[in-house]
Parts: sequence; structure tokens; C-alpha cells
Amino acid sequence: MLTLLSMFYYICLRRRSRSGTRGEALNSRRAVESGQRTALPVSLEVEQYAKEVLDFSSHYGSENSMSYTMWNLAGVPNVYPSSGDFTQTAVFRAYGTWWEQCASAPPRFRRTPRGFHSQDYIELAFEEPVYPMAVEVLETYYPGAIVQIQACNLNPFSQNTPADVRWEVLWSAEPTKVLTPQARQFSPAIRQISFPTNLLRLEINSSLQQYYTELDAVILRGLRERPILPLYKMPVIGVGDLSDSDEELADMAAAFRHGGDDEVDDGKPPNAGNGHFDRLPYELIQLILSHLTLRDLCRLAQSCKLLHQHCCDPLQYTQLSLQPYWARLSDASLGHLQSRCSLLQRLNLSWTGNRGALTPSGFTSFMKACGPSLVSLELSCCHFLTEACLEVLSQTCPGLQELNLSSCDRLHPQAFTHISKLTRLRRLVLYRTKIEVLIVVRRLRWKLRTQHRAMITRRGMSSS
Amino acid sequence: MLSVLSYGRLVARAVLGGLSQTDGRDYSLVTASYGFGKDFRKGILKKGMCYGDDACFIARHKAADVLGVADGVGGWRDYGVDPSQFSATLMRTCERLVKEGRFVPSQPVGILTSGYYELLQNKVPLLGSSTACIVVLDRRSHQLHTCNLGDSGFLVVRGGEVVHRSDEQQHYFNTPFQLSIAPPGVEGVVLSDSPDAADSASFDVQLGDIILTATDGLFDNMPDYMILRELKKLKTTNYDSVLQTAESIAKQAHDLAYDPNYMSPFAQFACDNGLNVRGGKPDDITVLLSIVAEYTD
Repeated sequence: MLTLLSMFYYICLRRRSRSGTRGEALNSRRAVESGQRTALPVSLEVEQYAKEVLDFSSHYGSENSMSYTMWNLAGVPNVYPSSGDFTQTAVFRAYGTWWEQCASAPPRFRRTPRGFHSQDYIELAFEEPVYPMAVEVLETYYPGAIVQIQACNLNPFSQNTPADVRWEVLWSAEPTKVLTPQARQFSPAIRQISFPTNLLRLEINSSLQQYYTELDAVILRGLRERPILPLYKMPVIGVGDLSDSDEELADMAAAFRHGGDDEVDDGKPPNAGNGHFDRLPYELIQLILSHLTLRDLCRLAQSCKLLHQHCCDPLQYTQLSLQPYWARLSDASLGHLQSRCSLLQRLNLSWTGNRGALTPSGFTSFMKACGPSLVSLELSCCHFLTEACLEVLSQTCPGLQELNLSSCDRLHPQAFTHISKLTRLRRLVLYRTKIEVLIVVRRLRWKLRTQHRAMITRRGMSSS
Repeated sequence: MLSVLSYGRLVARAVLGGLSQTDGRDYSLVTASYGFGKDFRKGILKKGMCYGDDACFIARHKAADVLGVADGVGGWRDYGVDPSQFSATLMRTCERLVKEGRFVPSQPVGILTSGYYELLQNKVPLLGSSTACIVVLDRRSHQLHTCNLGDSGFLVVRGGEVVHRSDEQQHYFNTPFQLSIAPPGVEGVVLSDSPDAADSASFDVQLGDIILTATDGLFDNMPDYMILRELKKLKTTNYDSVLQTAESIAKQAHDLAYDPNYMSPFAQFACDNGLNVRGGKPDDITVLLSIVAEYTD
């Protein structure tokens, strides 16, 4: 009787695990059968919202918050088509010109190419690589700040990386002032590119804006398969294509590769056979060349021996801004510029070197070559930096007065202890870095002749 | 004899336990909301369900179901501040936090704290104050985690009896604990409680448990026995019957609130404190009625 009861008890209490169905995670992709397109009857157009925000240069909100932060740009729109200031949108840190006019702003670098207007950027990853047909940005307040859209051939979600990581410009324009602050769907005419992409980069310039520009969502429309040939024309150079087009960037890379090495050997002694250039004083040619952009300077170095001598003169390279060329810069480029940079005082490497383009060793060898004279260094959003790089920096740049490490959020808090060895620092920007206040207080006890306050964003709630 | 009885009880429990087979499954809350604004502004539904100065939200997440109510403190109206803005934004923000998964199911105080600090990030200063009550059902562990700040609250009813209830938190009569944002300069004068002051509680729930989350407009007008009487009529777990029951409760409370001769719990409490009053308490009424059911997509 007892055994019967206990057996019954056991059978009834035996749990039968049942796997319930789980809801899907936020699904950001809709496949739309485009039967109406008579030209492409078989292909499938895919419309996607951004899946993830991978990288960005700044945002208005605090790191732990979801108000006015860049992560709001992923997923479906929260606010559009309403207009106005909403916390659920993505907002960049600055607008207008007051950031550039304030006393602590660094002076503009010489030789900035005319087509480069970008002040901030954001990189978005989508679920599925497609050949893009349209990119739509839902802007909800003071639109019109986007100046460039680029696509990358790298798939951030897959393990295999392509041999060379390429960024192609889909659209680009000068900053314009939009008359009304109302919400709009911004859909520029984009170029066709030859590879599928699921990584887009938007570059922003809000200097003409009256208030913060606010973005809600980005839609990428594209085809899974390469469009059939008759419709797929060669890239048309449209009105929107300015100097930052693909050919010029490729030339930039070529110029960096060959500019230092090629010499025109025509057997004549130097400083002869160059026409009137031989009669001009050295300083005058230097003055003329100081107006050229870096790309033109490197190309000019290939023309003849005299100009090669002029173009490789370290006096032309007292200020060097490589930020406009971030997409093409590599260790090799730095290596070729190294020989000219012995008198370098101001260097801008912001935005460069990501996704393996620059390595810490390439950076450190460049620093060893040009560090001693360096006064100002901009390393904003340089994710290749490691603690070893900062250590080399502190050793090779004793005269450094200005250092910008904003958004270098891959650096560990310990890495910043090396900054204490830079005794001449007057301006230090640590926006969105993992610096810990305790380390700041304990280690940075040197006499900081700060004319301008350090900018720090704590990982807590507020930014100061 | 005793052993036969005890074995009989064991068998009965085994049979019932085996037949219901609940432990492997996830739970969910089937929730309906109903309410009345104080000045008959029912029907004006801003985003996130507002009834007068009260606001509430219902959010589903993969791991948990979350409900919340907030009662905006009406005293701000005398200073030109709309009290419904604060409570509505607080509830909307908490809903967004839940939808984005930025919470831990076992700590509803975290939702309240994060939501409150998100309100402080707003560029347009959001003035006002409100109470708050957040209820989280953890699907897998079958636990209900709650936190309550102020005089809103919840009841858990099982088998026609109240098994859990929240306590009212008040500084003095008619002044509950409240989260607030004051204009700069008067922060010392305005009553402002920290989210840490909220009462937290966690307990197990079973299928068929009824959870009633409401603002003080309900509890101050309708005593427990009347609420339980209405809840007895709720037998199924489908949404329409839950909505019907919530509606009947809210309507009854609304009628009682405007009855001048009725001895409401509020009047009773006032009498106990020396104020000789009778009648209901006209106030915003928000009722969130939920029943624990099995999780389906």
C-alpha cells in the first residue's frame, strides 16, 4: 500500500519540461516584395532600420543615460514624424559655432581640404549586407546637419574581414541651412557601389544650425543581389560629388605611398631645368607650397627633384592634420611621412586608424620620430590606442601642451596614469574616456598650469 | 488514522500538483487598465495612459511583465505647474527602460531610480512630483517583485482573500512620499523623497492570482470587502473579462467618491485623526487589474 502510494506520488510529481516559445528579439528588418518594379522582377528589396550603433564621436546625453544619446538612433523611430526636442532622439554634443569660438578651442589646422566639413560622425551597423539603393534619415529637429554618408565593405558581425577595408562615399554635400526646424525624412540620391554593405557612416556638420540637430532613425534600402548590368551604370559624377570622391582618396593613398620615394631622374643636376622656379628664392617657393593641401603636396613631390626637395622640407610639416584622410591612412602612410615630420608641432590624428588601419607599433614609431617638437596632439576617437602608446607618448613628447583623447573609450583607466608625466600640459580633453576620478586626484598632482579646464565625463550620471 | 489522513493529503497534493504541471512554464500578466480623471476628463488619453493627474504603464519584456502607476501631486497646480506632466513622463520613461531591457527584474527600485534620473536629464525642466508603484512579474522564477513609494499601492488576491498588500507611505495626513523635481533655488523647501525610500517586497505567485495596482483614488473610496466582491466575479484569464472587472471597480469607486454621505475609508481615517468628515474623496482613479496566466507569445 505504502509503496503503491509513493509510486503514485513520484509519477504525479515528475516534472515534464516543456519548452515554450520565446518571442523574437527586437526585429529590425522587413523584407518587401517589390513586385511593382518592372525592371527588377526577381530581386528582393530589403528595408532595414539600424541594428546597432558601433561608434560615434560625441553625444549630448550622459554615458549611462538613454536620453539624447546616440544609441537612440538604432531601431525603429521613437518620435518621427513629431517635431521638437525629445529625449528619445540621438543628439550630438554641439551646434553652431560657439565651440569653435570659445577660448579653449584649438585653432584650425592649415591645409584643411575644402571639401572636408565633418565635425562629428556616427557609424551604424545593419543586419544584412545589401547593395544600397537609398538611405533615409529621419530627422526630427533642426534637420540639415548631415554632410556625408559613407559605406564600408566590412561586415561587423561576421568573423572574416576583407583584405582591404574600404569606405566609399555614397553622398556628400556642403553644409546648408534649412529654414524650418520641422521634422523631415532626408533621402539624398546616393551613388551605386560595387560591394554589399551593412556598415554606414554619417558625418555631421552643425555649424549652421540654430539649435541641436536631432536624429531619430536611419533606414537602409537595398538589394540582396547585385543589380543587373543595364541599370548598374558606372558611378556618375553628380553635383553632389565634391573633392572627397573615391578617385581622389585613392590618389591620396598612392601619393602617400610613392610621394617620398619616387624621384624624377633626368640626369641633370638639381636646381636646373626647372624654368623660372630656379630663379625664385627658396622661401618664396615654400610660401607658395604652404597653401596646398596635403594631397597636392604629396603629388607635387613626384614632379621634379627641386619640388621634391621643397615638398619634403620639414618646414612644410609643422602642422599636420590627417583627420580628413582617416579612411585611407595606414601604417605605411605614417611611415612615409615620418621623414618629413621632424619639426612637427601640431598633429591631428583624430578618427584615424580604426579597424586595423593603424597599429600601436606604427603609431609609436611615428611618435618617436616626431615627438620631441610636438606641442599639440589630437587623438579623438582613436580606438587603436593602447596603454603602451600612451606610455611612449609620455616619453617621446616632453613638450606636449595640448592633448585631446576624447572618445577613446577602449583605454583602461590605468593607461591615463602615464599622462601625469607630461609636465607641460595646458589643455587636456578626456571626454567619454574611462578615467576614474580617484586616479585623477591621486596621480595628477603635478602643477598643471591649466588655462582651460579639463573636460571629463564621469561614467556616472552627470557630465562636467 | 492520522497517517491515513496525512498520506491522503500527500496524494491529493501530488495529484493536483502533477495535473497542473506549472513549474516548467513561464508566467505572464494579463492586464487591463481603467480610470477616471477628477474633472471628468476621461477619454483624453495621452501616450502611456493618463487619467487626470495619474499615469500608468504596462510593459512586456522577454523576461518580465512590468506595471506601474504614478499619482501626480495636485498641489503644484497652485504654482502654475501641470502635475500630470511629471507622472506621465515618469511612467513613459519607465516603460521605455523596460522595453529596452535596462532593468533587473528582481529590483524594481532600479527602474524607479533610473527613470527618475532620466527625468533629470531632460533639457526642458520638468517640474512636479508624484508617487510611484512598480510591480514586476519575473516569468521564469514566478516571483512578483514590487516597490512602492507613496500612497499608491497594490493588492494580491488569491482565492478571494488578500494575501499581500502594500503599505502607504505618508509624511503626514494627505502628504505621501513623493519623487519630485523642484525649480532651482527652492529645493530645500519642496518635499522630495529619494527613490531609495521606496518599500520593496518580493513574493511567489501562482496561476490565477489577481493583482490590483491602483492609486489612492481607489483605496480611499472603496474598502477591501467591496473590491473583493468585484474580484470574485473574475473567473477567466482573457483580456475582456479582466477589462470588464477593472471597469466595474473603477466605476463603483467613482460613484462612491461623489457620494456625500458614504463613510469612505478616507473619511474614516480623517475621523480617526480628528477631522469630522463624511463622504467619498473625489480624486483621480486609476485601476490596473492583472491576473497571472501562462505565457503565450
